[in-house]
Amino acid sequence: MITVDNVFKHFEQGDMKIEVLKGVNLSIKKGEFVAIMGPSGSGKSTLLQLLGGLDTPSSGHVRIQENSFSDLNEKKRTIVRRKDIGFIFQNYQLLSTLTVEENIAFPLHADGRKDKDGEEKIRSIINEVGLEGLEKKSPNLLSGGQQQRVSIARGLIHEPKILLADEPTGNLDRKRAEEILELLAKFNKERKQSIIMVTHDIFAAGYADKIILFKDGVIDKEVTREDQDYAEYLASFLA
Amino acid sequence: MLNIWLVSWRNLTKNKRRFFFTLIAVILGIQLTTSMLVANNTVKDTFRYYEEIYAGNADSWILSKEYSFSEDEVESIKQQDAVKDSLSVLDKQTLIDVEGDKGPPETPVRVTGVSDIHSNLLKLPLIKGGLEGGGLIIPENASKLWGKDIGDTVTFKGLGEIKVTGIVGFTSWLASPNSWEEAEGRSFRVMMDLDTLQEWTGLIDQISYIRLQHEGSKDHLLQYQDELNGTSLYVQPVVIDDLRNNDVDGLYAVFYLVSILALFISGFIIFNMIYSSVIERKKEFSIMKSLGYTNFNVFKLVFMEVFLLSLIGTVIALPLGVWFADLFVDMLLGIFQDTMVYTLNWQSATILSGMIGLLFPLIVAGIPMYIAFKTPIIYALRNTNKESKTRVKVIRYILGLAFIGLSFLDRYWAYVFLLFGVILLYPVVIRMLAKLLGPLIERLLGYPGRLSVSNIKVNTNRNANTSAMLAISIGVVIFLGSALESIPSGFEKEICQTFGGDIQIQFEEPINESQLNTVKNHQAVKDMAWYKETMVTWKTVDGEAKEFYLMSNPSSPDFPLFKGYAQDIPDGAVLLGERAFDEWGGKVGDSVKMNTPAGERAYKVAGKVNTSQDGGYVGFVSQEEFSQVFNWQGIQTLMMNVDDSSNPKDLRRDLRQDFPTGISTLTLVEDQIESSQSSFDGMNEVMQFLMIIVIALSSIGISNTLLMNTMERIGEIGTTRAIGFTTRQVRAMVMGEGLVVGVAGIIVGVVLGIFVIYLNSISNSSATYMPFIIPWGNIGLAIMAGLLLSVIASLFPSFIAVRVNLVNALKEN
Repeated sequence: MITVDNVFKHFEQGDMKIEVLKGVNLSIKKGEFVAIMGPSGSGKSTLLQLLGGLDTPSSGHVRIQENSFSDLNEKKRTIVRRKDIGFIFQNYQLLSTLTVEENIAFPLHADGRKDKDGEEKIRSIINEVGLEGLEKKSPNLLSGGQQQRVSIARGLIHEPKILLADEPTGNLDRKRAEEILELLAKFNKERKQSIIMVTHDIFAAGYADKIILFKDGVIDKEVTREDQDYAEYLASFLA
Repeated sequence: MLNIWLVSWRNLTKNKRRFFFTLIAVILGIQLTTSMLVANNTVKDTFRYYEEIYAGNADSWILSKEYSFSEDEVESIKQQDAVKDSLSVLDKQTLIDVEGDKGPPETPVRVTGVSDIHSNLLKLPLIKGGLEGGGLIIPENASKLWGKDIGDTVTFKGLGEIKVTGIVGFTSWLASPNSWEEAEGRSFRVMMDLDTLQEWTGLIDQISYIRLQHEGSKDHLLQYQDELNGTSLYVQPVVIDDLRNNDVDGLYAVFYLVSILALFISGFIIFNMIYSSVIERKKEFSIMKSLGYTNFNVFKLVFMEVFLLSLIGTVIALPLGVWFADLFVDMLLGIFQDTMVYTLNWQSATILSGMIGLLFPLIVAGIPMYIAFKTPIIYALRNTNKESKTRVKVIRYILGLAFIGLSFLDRYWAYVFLLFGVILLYPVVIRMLAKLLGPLIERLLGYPGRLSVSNIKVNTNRNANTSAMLAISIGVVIFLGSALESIPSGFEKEICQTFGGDIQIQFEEPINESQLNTVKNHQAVKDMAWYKETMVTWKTVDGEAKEFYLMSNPSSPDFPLFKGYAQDIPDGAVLLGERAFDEWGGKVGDSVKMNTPAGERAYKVAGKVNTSQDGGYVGFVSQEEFSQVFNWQGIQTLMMNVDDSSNPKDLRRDLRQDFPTGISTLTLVEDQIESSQSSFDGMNEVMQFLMIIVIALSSIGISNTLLMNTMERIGEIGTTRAIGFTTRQVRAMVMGEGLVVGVAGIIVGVVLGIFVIYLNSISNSSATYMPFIIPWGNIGLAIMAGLLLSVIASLFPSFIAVRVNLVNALKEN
């Protein structure tokens, strides 16, 4: 469903050229929950941005089904994002002037899909993420955990094929992080949506079917739950 | 060593776009202020200059109630030691011979003979040729209409031929018609040597008046009055009073109003920019303080930033302002019938503007500078929870309502309270209007439009201030529009009611019974009356010498010259026209001092009257007073009503034929109305032009505010893009915010303008009273300009918003 084909990405800083991704190849199937880990500056967040069409590769291709982001103009990339991709950010990125309900409904409105059916979807997802009674509140008045639930609901409301999560538990304590990860795992199972999560936290990565370790702009290791050394791999991280 | 200037410069220009927009606002504000102040000084100087060149260096003149008198009668006066210089003048009306089909109605010309064309009592603005050679001096207008240039010969019917040796620009001495049509109403004027004119006319030794210049004190006036008592001669001091020839006092008020508005708007833009900059850097200030900076050091840093901004803005704005003033004065003086030349008086106004330019940004940035000064050292260390500001808001709104309530007081200063009331209440007003406008904006722009309305809630005060500036500008446009519309409509009525019939004729000399009958016997003349008039000098309450026409009561009550005083004017009393009354400065019942042939005399001011005569700069006394005190027996001015079946223009031509050289002016009531109307139309255009500039300045404020809103919400804009907004939707969202601010400004501006018109209409003070006229044209113009400029103002911020780099924007949060 998602294929990353020999992707390079560099940034220019003055006269310097900084290579962030140096030939990444990757394939993610429908309904797969993937965690991307790696030290700071290894390129994992850049890869997530390329997967979300927020940026384009310097060379190579990122394909969502048959669409290569490199071949699409800005507007078409936005349409792909709007229909097929949901985002969850570490700092939630909620719109302060909108209520909880309005924040969740944003992707539907942006796509011109706010109808009666949409209303029901919103009610249903609010219940699913446990935000009943907070619909009319401003997101600024919510706790970090609640804000991240709003972010998840917003990322899922338009039923995207892929959910991209950038450090979704980075700002939360263990208890709240666990609740959020449970939610993600639940949606992954129930809706068969692919989830790609960038995280520093091995505990969070433990919820994924596949863990990809990044190092110096390339994939250093890929391990799946089915692999025999999966448990050993997690343990080595914890150690 | 830390260079504080360099640091301030870096801070100032860190956000280049914001700096650029604020700088533009400073430049436009100072430029407009400079232009208005320079225009004000230049226009005043120009009118005064023309009065001064008319007066020359003369301090008094001796005139006759008859057409002319023998120069011998004043010989003893001329010979006195105190008389430094004198100029004898003879006026003679004749007809000029011009090519084509022009006849007596269009060709009367008053030839003025002067004893010394080089006298320092006579200043002529020569533009071509010279004053030497004893030839004819003609004004530029006449030169163009007659097709005569230097060296050409001019023939005066029945008098003689003379070569043109000089052409002069506008001067009251030789004020002439601009067109042949105008020539039917007033005669041309030219100047030549006195001896030749006396010889041509056979009026040897005869003069019409003599101008004198004295050395030392002015006691000679009393002496001459004694000497001339009982003769047909009388003496008047020469007074330079430009109010007599122009009625542009209101224009000066507009100059100041535009300057204040421009500074006000520019000040708000500067305040917004510095305030945002200080709030953004509060953490930085607290860190600086923790590293050893004192409160004063931080204050100085921000002060330097504002000073640099004002210095750069002022240096650029001053020359631009002078250049614009030149264009503006040229356009303004073009309204008047006579072509006036001017010298730009820019020095003092530029110095004043420079001082304002350097100081006012520092004043308006006072609050942000104080916030920087007071930033607590622990600000960076603590989690800054916003304190509840509900109490402040409640106090603000209560004060706002109270201020608006105060505007009902019938005083000038009440309008200042009204403006502050509007500004204080504006945040709540803009929120309400945003809610009301929401469905419309959403319908227009779709979902992004709904977000625009929500976004108004962020930085409400900044958005409110910006919208308030636009509202105030629009309110002023509408108010001025109403004022201008009310003047002509009131004027037309006033001219008809106080013109004194349908036609006024002024003869060159007192007329006799047979001439009176000639006029009366015209079939078109329904009825006829007369009044007497003479120029007198008088003093204001502050002792300033002034000059106006004093008129007698009309001979028939069917030809009223004023309204607002129904009784007979008592002896020893005077009625003053509105402008004369205001200039005088006293109260009804007080006395005004006037120079009569019998010396200075105090007249009780019996009332202030409405009149169209000389634009209200005039006085009225009884006929008895005129005959006895002024000893004025002859009739020179006739008024007549035209028979309904006759055309006044035909009658005018017939009368011109009857008295080809005897009439100096022949004015129809419709000419007077048309002339006033065209002046007001010209003024209206000038004001509309100025007001569009002020609205444009407000729209720079909108652009600046939207840019700041956009830059502060760059993270949120990035989010909307990430989760599905196209660039078009983002653009629509920012444009929608501009529309909310702009449309709210337009709505409040229109309401404010109409409210001020209403307040003026219920005013009991004549100075502020104005009929309730809604200027729909100006409202339409303000709405169109406001909408168009708001949309234009939103374009750049929306362009910036869509150019946001998504990845960087998301990091902003």
